[in-house]
Amino acid sequence: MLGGGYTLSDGRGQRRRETDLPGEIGGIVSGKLGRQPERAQQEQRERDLPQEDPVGQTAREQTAGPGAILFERLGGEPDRDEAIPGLLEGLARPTFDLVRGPAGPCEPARPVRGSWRGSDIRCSGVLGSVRLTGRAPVLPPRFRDLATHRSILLGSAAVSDLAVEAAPVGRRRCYRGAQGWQRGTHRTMMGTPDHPRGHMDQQHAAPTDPSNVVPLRVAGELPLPLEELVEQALRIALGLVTLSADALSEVVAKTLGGQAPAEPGGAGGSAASLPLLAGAAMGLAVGVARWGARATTTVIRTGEIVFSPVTTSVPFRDGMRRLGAELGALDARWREERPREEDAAQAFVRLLVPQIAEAVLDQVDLNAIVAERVDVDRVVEGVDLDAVVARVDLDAVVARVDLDRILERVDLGAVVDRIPLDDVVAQIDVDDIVARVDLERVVDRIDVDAVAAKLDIEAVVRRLDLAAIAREVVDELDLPEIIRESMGSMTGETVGGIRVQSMNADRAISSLVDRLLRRSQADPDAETPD
Amino acid sequence: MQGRRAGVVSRVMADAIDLAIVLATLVGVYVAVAATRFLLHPRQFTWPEPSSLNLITLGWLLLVAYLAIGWANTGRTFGKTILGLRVVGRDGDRLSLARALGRALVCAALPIGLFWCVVSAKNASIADLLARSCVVYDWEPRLPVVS
Repeated sequence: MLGGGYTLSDGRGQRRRETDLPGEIGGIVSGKLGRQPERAQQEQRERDLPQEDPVGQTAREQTAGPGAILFERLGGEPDRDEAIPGLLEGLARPTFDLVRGPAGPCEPARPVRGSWRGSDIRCSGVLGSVRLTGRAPVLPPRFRDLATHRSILLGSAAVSDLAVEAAPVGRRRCYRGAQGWQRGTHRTMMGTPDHPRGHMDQQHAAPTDPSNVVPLRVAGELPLPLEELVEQALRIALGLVTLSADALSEVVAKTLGGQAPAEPGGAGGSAASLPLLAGAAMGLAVGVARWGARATTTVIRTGEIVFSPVTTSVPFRDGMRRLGAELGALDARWREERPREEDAAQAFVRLLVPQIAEAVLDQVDLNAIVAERVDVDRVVEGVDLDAVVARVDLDAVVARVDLDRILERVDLGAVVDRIPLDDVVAQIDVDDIVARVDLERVVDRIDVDAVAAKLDIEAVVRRLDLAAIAREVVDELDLPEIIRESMGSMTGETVGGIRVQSMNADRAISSLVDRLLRRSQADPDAETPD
Repeated sequence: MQGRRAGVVSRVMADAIDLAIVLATLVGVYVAVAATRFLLHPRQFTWPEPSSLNLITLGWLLLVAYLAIGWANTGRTFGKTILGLRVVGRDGDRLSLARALGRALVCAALPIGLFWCVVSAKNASIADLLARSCVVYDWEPRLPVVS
């Protein structure tokens, strides 16, 4: 175990919180590597900063410039041969690439890669004459875990020669080529024919300027990540078992026509014996899991101490290196085959998922679920009906409606019976309607002859009370006046005749007298008064 | 022919009708007197036996009054209304009551003077000459304006 502590700080000299570390992407750098030239620092930042990932954008804002987060161990003597590889492997296992080699041409040692939440850890260090560099696309869940994990694995590692820098990269991967660090796929980190893997020089290993580092003491003894990992895995397993048992018991109870077992300690009363025993068993399992995790950790620690002479021997290390090389070859083969397996798996899943979904939906009453769990009113309130209606092509909708079929299904008699015709008629202005009708045009369009031909006049006359009509007509007529007018007319004609005849007689006698007296008949004075 | 001076035939016929009306009136007066006497003395009733002078005098007075009222009022009597005649002055206006009465007295006193219109160039009778009047055709209810 190492003595002393670690510092967590940023380049601006401000302390950073130890929680929320997935957002505070940072790194571990040694003071030695941090004192590299400015050009190397700038290039390193450009390589590490992402261009697409929003998480990376946040990290870039937090780590921009000289303010990169640094984690530095203070004090202690390093064990350069063993600590750094263990750190790097432990930090990112099994999800990072490790390239280990001499300071000269670099050869891949134990490449392991993976990803975790879109983050990336770049590791580099100088161990004696050997330079270690690696990229780990994983960031431990908590930065404290990172520190603790490293401290456990490092032993007396020379942390001052270690640089572990985490930076969000999204899908970007970098490799070292002839022209320096370049972007490429994950696979190219292992080297490609066009871009063989190169080695990292001293300048590129400097991630940031540590001059602004402010030491921060970290709490001493921390729980082992392995222990936590084992405990957490057991907890998850127990939780799954519990949930599965509950669901299974409920399904079995419903299948048998009974009710689901009550929750122990609930308002329903005392717990039954079987659930009580099951709960006790689960509690026992939790205790065993904790004890097992601690025991496992103890065994691992003891094994590390006991077998350290063996593991630190040159033959063992060579054997491990060869084993690592063999595993790396197998891993490379897997990586080559991986796309095809993934494609096949995806094709299988594409076929399998619909079948499963259909089978599940057959067993589920969606209507009941929606009625029970969905607040339709709330959903409808959130819907912008105006926008929905605005997007509807009403003309097309109406064009698709078969009005004839609809009308055939309508009971017009029932509809008319429900209409208050008296109220409707009372609201109609008949005079206004009649005033708008062009009766002359209507009459012109009527074939009066055809109408008259269809009339049965005799039947109409037979139905009339002619005697009553005659009496009414006579009562309405003023016969004495008519008689008087007739008599007056006759008298007038008689008188007119007498007048004309007497006038003619006057003229005849006058002419006769004029001839006898030999007078001129054209004397106007004889005809008119003076 | 409207407004022209009427001839002897029309005027004689009109005067005959007027005379008949006066005689009928005289008969009516006789019946009325008899009825009055019957009502007053039914048991001693006897038909009135007026003298000829009285009858002629009464008839003459009725005739003068009938003619004067008709001519002064509308210019025509019932007989002249039937024949479409009207008595007007020489200027075409209606006769005054005095002139109508004078003309009626002349006509009643000397009926034969009517036939002077036969020989008169202006169809004027003796009464027309004395009363400075004339008789014209006028079938219309209103007296036409004589030029």
